Order: sequence, then C-alpha cells, then structure tokens
Amino acid sequence: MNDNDVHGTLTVAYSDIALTDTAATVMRRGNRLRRARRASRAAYAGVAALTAISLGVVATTSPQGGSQPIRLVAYSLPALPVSLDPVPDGLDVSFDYDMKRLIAFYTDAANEAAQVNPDLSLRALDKAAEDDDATSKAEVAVQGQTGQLYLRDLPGEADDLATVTWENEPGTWVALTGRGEFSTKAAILTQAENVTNEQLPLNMRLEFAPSGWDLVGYKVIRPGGAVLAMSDGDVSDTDARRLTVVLHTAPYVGLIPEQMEDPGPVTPVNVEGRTGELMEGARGWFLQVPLDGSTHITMQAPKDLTREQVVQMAGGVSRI
Amino acid sequence: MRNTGMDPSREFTDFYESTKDACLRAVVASGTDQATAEDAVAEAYARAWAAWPKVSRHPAPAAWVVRVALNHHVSRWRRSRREVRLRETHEQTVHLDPVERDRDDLIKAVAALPERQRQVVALRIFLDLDTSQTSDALGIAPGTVTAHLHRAMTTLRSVAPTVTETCS
Repeated sequence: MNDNDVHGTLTVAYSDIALTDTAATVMRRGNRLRRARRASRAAYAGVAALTAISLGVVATTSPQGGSQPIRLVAYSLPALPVSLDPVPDGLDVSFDYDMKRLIAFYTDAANEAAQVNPDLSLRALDKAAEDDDATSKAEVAVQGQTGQLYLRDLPGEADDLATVTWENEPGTWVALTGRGEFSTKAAILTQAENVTNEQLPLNMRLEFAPSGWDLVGYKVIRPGGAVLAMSDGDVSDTDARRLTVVLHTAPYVGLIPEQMEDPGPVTPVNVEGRTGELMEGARGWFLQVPLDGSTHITMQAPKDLTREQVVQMAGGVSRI
Repeated sequence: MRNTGMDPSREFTDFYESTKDACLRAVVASGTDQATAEDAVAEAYARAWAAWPKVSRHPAPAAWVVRVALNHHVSRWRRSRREVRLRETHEQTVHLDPVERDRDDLIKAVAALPERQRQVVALRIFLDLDTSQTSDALGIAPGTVTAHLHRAMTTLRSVAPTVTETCS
C-alpha cells in the first residue's frame, strides 16, 4: 500500500465524520469570545487571587526529568466577589473561566438555547465595562451610584443585549449583562439592584495545587458537576503540563484500565478515608475516587507529580 | 488564506464550510473521540472567528484550527468514559462487511499509532499539508515530521496490507 492508497482509504474511512454545527452557531460562539476578550483587555481583576502558601517540597525528583520538582501549595479557586440575590425564578448559576476571566451565568438550565445565550451574566472588573457595539449609552442610577447603561441590537440576531456597569466598591466595577427578557432598561436595572457583595464561589473546591500552576479553564457540567484544568503554561502552549479534575454527579464505577489510552497498573488508594483507585499510565496518573454516594471525582495528572501528591490533591477536592 | 476583500463573515463562512469536516476528521484521527473532537473543533472555529483578521492571514488557517482544537482537548478521562460506552455499544453489534472491516482495521491502526505520528498523518492526509506546514502546525522540526510520517506509513502498511485491494 503506498501513501496515496493510505490517503484515499483513510479519507473514505472517515467520510461519515462531519461537523454539524452551522457557521452561524460557531460565529455566535466566537462573538462571545470576542466580547470576553474585550472585557479581559479591560484588565479584569474581580477574581479573588490565588493564595500560594508553600507547604514545602513534597517531590524530590521529577520522573520525567523536569527542571524543578513540583511543590504542592495551598490553593483557592477564584470566586466572584459579587452575586445575584435573589436569583430570578427558573435560573441557575454556572460559571465559565477562560483566558483568566471568570463570568457567572444565570441561565435556564432546561433551556438549551439559554445555555448558549445566557439570560444574565455577571462580572467584576477594575474599570467600568464598555460596549463599543452598543446602539445606545446612557447614565443611570444604580445602587446609589451613577452607572452606565448600554443597549445593543445585535445585527441579524433576535436577542438584544443590555449591560449596566457601576463602581460597586472603590476600584471595583460590576458589569451585569442581560439578554432576552432581561435586555430592557427596566429589567436590567431591576436585576442590578439585586447584586450583593456576597462572594460567589465556584461549585468545586480545591485545596492544593502545584506551585506556579494556574487555572486555565473551568466549566460547569450540568447538573452540578464541573471540570477544571490547571497548567504551568498558556492554553496554546503545547509543551505546558496540564492536569484536570472532573466532578461527576454520577455514582462511582471504578477504573476500567483496558479502556484507558495508556493503561498501567492500578492500585487502591486511601483518599481522606475514601477508597479510590490510582492508575499509573505511561504518560500520567489517573485517579478516581467517590466523594459521596452520588458523586465522584476523576483526576488526570502528569507524572511530574508523585503518587503522594496526586492523592493529596484529590483529597483536597470537594463539592460546594 | 489571503485577504480576498470579501465580507469577513462571508469569507469565514466559506472557509468554515470548506474545511470543517476535514478538520474534525484530522482531530478524530489524531486520537480524540468524536464527541470531544466535535466540541474542540467547534470551539477552535469560534476562536478563529474571534481572531479572524489574524487567522485569515495565517498561511494554513485550517491547520491553525486543528492545532487549537488539539490543544483544547478537555480531559482524557472524559474520553475514556466515552470509550467505555462505545465499547458497550460495539459489543452488541457489529457485523462489518469485508471492506468495512478492512477500513475499520486501518482506523484502528491509525488510532494505535503514537500520538505525534497520528497527528502528522492526520494533518498530512486530511488537511493536505506539506511537511513545512505540518511542521509549523505541530511546532516540531520538518525532519521530525518526515520521520514520524515514515514510521507511521510503515506501520500502516504492515497492519493493513489488504486495504488497497478491498477498497479500490
């Protein structure tokens, strides 16, 4: 078989694999990213900072020859310094953390379309939000402050957008954006009055993390689950090391090594009194352990972490 | 892709429609399960649109999409769990005809290649990238691309020598 044969045969073999998303769907998703980047460029700083208190060197060697042994440090996942109270009927909170910015989405969980276009999103910033694409801008009174209201008609889209932003605390601005029924001036200002200084934590807690690593992604998996990714580099850095922790709202079923990409020996592990399983694959650690009767976590980590560090990190994972 | 002077949204739509399936196949062939790949590729295209003025000037924008998609993979755990479900489904089926079985063998052979070899094969075959473009897309040296491709093709020929006849 020559290269052309392989080319032709593989092309045929994969011919039934096709992406069904429309260009319009993808572009709407891209527009959201673009708006988020604008917000990010506004030097988003409303997220509580990582606390890095050294617990001392746990690893003494790096199995893959990394330049520095990994140390675990105390770690707190970011939290939004504000929240909505009360939450409008029918909406549930979820989160999105990407490109170092955290946004809380209040959406109708039963409405798939609403997950694409959240009804309300809440951010904290170190300066007032701006909307360059707004079709109107006005000063408004919100929470006893003078704020800015942006209203936008999105060309070719049914959903309008309303954003109100104000200085909630000295040096801290809040931006609340509404779509659908919350895209009118009256509706968004009503909801803005419900923003409180009650901190809004993510739905998973992590007590330890490798020193110098940072959260690079966090998504809520409905209902009540979450996946987080940490890395010692940027998301586009192919050489960066990454680990993931997934909170599953499903019963613990245990590891099935033969289904893993690089299966290795599995050993039972004690994680804070709970029995889980740890597999040492050729390229990384796989750990699975129940949290309670209805939830469990899975963790994938590079082998630069020691077995003890993997178990220690897993022991620090809990559900909020 | 050169700037054509076309409306950007039209230009992106044309690019998307003409490359989306190839990019998805490349990511699947690189070793990502289809469900995860679909999400990763859609996300990569969204990022491409969000940065379209830059991406449209990239010498191989489809390769840019594939690279972003590969970097965006969520979790091997989720993939493994998906594989469990696939296996359970698979065990209840499947009586392939000889041609399908040989193609299936080839797909399995690709899936069994080391990661880098899979990626090189995927980019060369599904995106028709040359060695230089593949090198840029994967961030590895051209010589390494050539070596990976040679090893991969040697393996594929040995694993599925009859595919040519049955599929021709």
